[in-house]
Order: sequence, then C-alpha cells, then structure tokens
Amino acid sequence: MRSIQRRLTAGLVAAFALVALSGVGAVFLAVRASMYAQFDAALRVKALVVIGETDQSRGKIDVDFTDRYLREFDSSVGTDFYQVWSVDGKTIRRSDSLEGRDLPRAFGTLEEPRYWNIELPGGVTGRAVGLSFRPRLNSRDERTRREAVDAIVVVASNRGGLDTMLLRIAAILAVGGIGVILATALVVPLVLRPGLRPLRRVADQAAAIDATKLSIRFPTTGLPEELRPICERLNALLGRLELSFERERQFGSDLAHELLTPLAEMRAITESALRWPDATGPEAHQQSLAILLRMETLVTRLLELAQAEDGRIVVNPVQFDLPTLLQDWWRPFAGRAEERKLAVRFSGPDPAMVCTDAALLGIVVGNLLSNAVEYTGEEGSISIVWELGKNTLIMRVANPAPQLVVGDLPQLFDRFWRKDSARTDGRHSGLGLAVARELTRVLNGTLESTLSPEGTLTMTLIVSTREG
Amino acid sequence: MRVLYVEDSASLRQTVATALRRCGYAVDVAADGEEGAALAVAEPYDVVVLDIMLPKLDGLAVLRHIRAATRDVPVLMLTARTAVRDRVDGLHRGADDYLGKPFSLEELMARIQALNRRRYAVTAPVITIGLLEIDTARKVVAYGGRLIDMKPREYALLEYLALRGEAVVSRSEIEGHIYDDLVDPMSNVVDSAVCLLRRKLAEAGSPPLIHTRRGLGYSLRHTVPCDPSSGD
Repeated sequence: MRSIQRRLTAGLVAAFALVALSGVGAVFLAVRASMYAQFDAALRVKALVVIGETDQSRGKIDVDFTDRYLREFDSSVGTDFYQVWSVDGKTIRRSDSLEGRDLPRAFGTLEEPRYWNIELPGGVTGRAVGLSFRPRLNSRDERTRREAVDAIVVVASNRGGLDTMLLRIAAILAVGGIGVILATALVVPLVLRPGLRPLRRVADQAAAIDATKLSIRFPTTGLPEELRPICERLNALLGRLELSFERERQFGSDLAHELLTPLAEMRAITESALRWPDATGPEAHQQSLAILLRMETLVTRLLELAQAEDGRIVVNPVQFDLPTLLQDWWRPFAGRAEERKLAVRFSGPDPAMVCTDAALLGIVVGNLLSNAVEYTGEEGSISIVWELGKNTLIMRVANPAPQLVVGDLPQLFDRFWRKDSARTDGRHSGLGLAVARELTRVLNGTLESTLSPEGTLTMTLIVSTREG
Repeated sequence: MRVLYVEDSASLRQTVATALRRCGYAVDVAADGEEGAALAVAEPYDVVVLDIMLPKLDGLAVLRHIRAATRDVPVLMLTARTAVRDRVDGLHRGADDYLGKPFSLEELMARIQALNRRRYAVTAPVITIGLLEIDTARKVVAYGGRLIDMKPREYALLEYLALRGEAVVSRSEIEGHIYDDLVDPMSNVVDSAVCLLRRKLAEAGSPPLIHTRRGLGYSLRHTVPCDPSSGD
C-alpha cells in the first residue's frame, strides 16, 4: 500500500525533475544558440574580409586576399578555409588550408548569409557561411560597369572547440540537474512530514477506534482547515454510531431480561411442582400458561418488528370506512378502559373512506390505543381524532401522561424502553411503539409524539392513502 | 432464618417465597425498591434477596440504602443482568453474592444458607452439640445418629439457636428471625415452639439442651453433669 507521503514525494520529485530538465534543456539550447551566433558572426566577419579583398574589372574577378593576413587560412595552421567561385561555379580562389580540395558550395545573400555544419577536409567537424556578393569594381569605366558579375564565397572554420565547450556546458548542466533532483528527493519528505503530521494523527486515532471505543472523538482544534470538516463529520458519525451501538447493547440486555425473567418464573414454578407435587394446584398451571402467553406475545412482536425492519411485509391496500374499523380496533381495550374509568372521545368525519392496508393500520392504532389505555391515570380521558387530507389520513391519539417528561420522547419508540426500567408490567412487552413506528414506515407514513406543557402526550399518525 | 425477597415479578415472588417458606424460612416479600429498602432497614433479616431492576428504586439503590443504614445483613443479588460488568458492579457496591436468572431453587436456597452460616461465623454445614447434629444443608436433625422428625418452623428455631452458639437469645430476637411479619407480636408462639422442640429432643433421648434464662431468653448448649466422685 502506498502512502500519501510517498505518492506526494514521488509526484513532486517527478514534477520537479521535469521542470529541472526542461530548464536545463532550455539553458543549454540558449547557450548553444548564443555560442553558434558568436561563431557565425566570426565566420561572417572572415567572409567580409575575403569579400573586401575581392574586386573585378571588365568581368574579371580578382581576389587579393593572402593567407598571411589571417594565419588560420594557412596550410600550416589549417583551422579556417575559404573558397571563392564565380557564379558559373568556376573556382577563383581557395585558401592554402584547403590544399586543393573544395568546400561545399551553398550560399545566401550578403544580408542573409547561409550558415551550415560541414565536414572539413581531414574529417573534422566544421561550420561554414556562404553568400553571394558583387565584387568591388576597380574601374569606373562604362565597360567594367556593364560587365560586372557576382561571386560566391564560402568560409568555414573548425568547430571542434565550440563542440567541446558545448559538451562541457551540457555535462555541467546535467550534473547540476541530477543534483537538484536528488536534493529534491531528500528535501520533499522532510517538508511533507510535518505537513502530513495532522493527517497521520487522525489516522492513528481512527485506527484505535473499534466497537468498544466508540466514545473516542477526533480533536478538531489545531487541525488544518482541510481536515477539520472531515473530523467534525467523523465525530458526528461516531456519535450516531455510539448511540446506535448503545441501543443495540441495551436491546440485547433488555431482550435477555425479557426472556430470562419469564424463564426464571417457569423454572421456579416447575421445580416447586416437582419438589412439592402434593401442594401444586391448578393455579401453578394457570401461572405457567400466563407466562407462556406473555413470551408468545413478546416473540410475535419481535417477529413483527423484524419483518417490518427487513421490508418483508407486503402492503395490501383496501378501501374501508375508518370509523367502522376503529370501533373494532377499540373493542379489545374497551373493558380495560371501563375498568380504569377512562373517558374516551372519538372525533372525525363519519363516514371516512380511506384506502390503505387495514390490517397493518389496525396493529399501529391498536398499539397506540393500548398504550393510551394503560398509561392514562385513573379516570383520565383519551382523545382519538382523525381527519382526511388529500391522499392522507391524519390520526391523533392524546392522553395525559404525567409520568413523562420531554426528554423521554426521543426514546419513546425504542425497543423495550419503559419509563420505569423494571419489567413489572406483564401486559406490555415494551415493543408496541417500536412496532407501530416500523409498520407506519411500511405504510409510507410517519408516527411522531409531542408532550404539551400540561403533560398531554399526543401521538400523531400520518399515513398516505390512495384514491378510493 | 428470616429472609426478605424483593422482586417485581409477582409470579416469581410468589413461587420463590412459597418455596422458601416450605423449607422453613420466614419470608417477607416486597414488590418494589422503596418497600424493599424500608423493610430491609426496619427488620432483622438474616438474608436479603434483591432483584436489580425494580420499580421506584432499583436494586443497587436499595443496596446502597441498606449499607448506608449500616446494616450488615448479607445481600444476594438476583437478576437477569448477568454480564460480568453487572456482577462486578453489584459486588463492589456491597452485595455478598450474585445469582443470575433463571436460577435453580436448590441453588438459591444453598446460597442463602451459605450466606446465613457466614453471618454467624459457622463454616461447616453440620453443627454438632453433644450427640445432636444439625445438618443445615439438608435441613435435618439427628440425635445419636437417629433422625428427628421436625416441622420446618421447629427446625428453623433449632438451627437459629445453634447458629447463635451458646448465646442467650431473646424471644423478640427469635420472633424477628424465625417468624415473618404475619405473626402477631403479642402471641406466645416462641414459647410454644420451644416447648414442642424440647419435647421432640427429649423423645429422641437427648438431655435438656435448650436452657431458659428467666427474663432473658433461651440458649442451646450441651452441659456436662458434674461428676459426684470428683469431690468438688
């Protein structure tokens, strides 16, 4: 696995190497061009010297230049060469250094001479300049003027010294460039390391987090601004994850408690019956049956919850009259409400035709009614109100809940949550509201709770309905 | 032995309390933490069996309440919360033992018995007084190797006197440890029970072991008769 530091180092060194090589190349080319320009200027001066010594009279060209003027053209030195031609290609004069051999003939004008590299006699590298010119007229008579002709001169010089110098410069630049690249490769990690330290710190902290250490938070003070939003977001996610894990742990603990307590009851009853069979009456069996029914309810609720959460519940919308079914849904709780002397008020349009899954809605409303009947104080009142919006059913179940505080509301729909942590109440599994919310979600609706300052708990159920 | 059982599950509370009574324990029950805490500091229980998840006041708070009242009564925590963290937490807060749900009645009673023995500094399960042997584990009494048939309450009285060593135990103390709060404090149940116990021991061939200290109470001790030939 490649680290960010290595990637950045490699990228930066490569980019720097590219820039350095380009720079070195540009410098070399500029130096080379400059040196060639100087070399060419010197060649041109030598050509002008030859031209200056060339004249004509009545169509006859004469070159008065002698190698003694410039020793380089002498055969004993032999570093410079020249050759003069007439326009018809006839050699008029050549330097002694040519020793009878010819230079290649190419030329430009006096204003724009032609320069090119050539191989000099003896096989050494050289550079030449060629140009055509009109030799000076050494007579002012009419015939000389009328018969004036042009000539061509090519002057060449040994460029071995120039090439050697350029090679040396190239070597210096190459060594310097490689040195700079190596230095960059050493310096870049030193510069990057402190810069990446906050990232490494965050990575170390992240590596330390596991399911048992979800309370760890990334410090956001002193972080670079690029990392701060990441850490803030991670902290928020960790908070939610911790809460979720805590709820799962709580669920596991609660589930164990919900199952272990009836098991303990069953075991105690059974062991007592075995130890004192004569003293065991039918009430022991009735107790066992009640415990089994409670466990059955618990398991059924858990299955409903699991099915709803897994999306395995199929919604079968049917059209029905809500007030009619509401009476059916209320019937199982009517006796308990009467026993507790509760006043119940139903209010809403009647008839009210809605189209949704009546069975699922019945479970949701049943759970709300069950809670209202159980937790409303003696002689309290319960209000059940419904209204129909466009493709929407809104139902509110309100009852006094003096035992609740606003802080309880977020946990109201948690599985096994009860205001009192004890599980004294055998009638309620603590899953009803969790099931109701999940089924409401399946019905493409919402179930929310509010608590008024007077202590009235209102459950608001909003379910989308189809056109009947 | 008098036990307080604090449990919110009515079914479990009733079943366990009945089982303990059948074994000769005097049992008081409480359905919530507040009632349990009030009883635990008001009555001289030998063992308190305490659930953790209780209405009104949870078991750990009840335990704190008991320890704050400087009651050295042994407390057995009985709960479905059996994670190591819960057990360690309970023991650190002053519980003497811990039993997870579901539990065996036999184990519960054995632990209660062990806590009771520890309270009275008796380590062996069999208490021997002369030829009288009281097996606190099996709840049986034998004299000279012959079992004596006893009702649970009679056994409980004998066991309590034996656990107290040779100390003089007052009637009120016996009432407090042998009888639950259903007994009328003005009745003479203790005197009647002592009388019946003496008779059964005598029928088994035992010399008088239960001695009355008039105005103070009773003590259980084996007295060696003076040897007339010793001349003392």
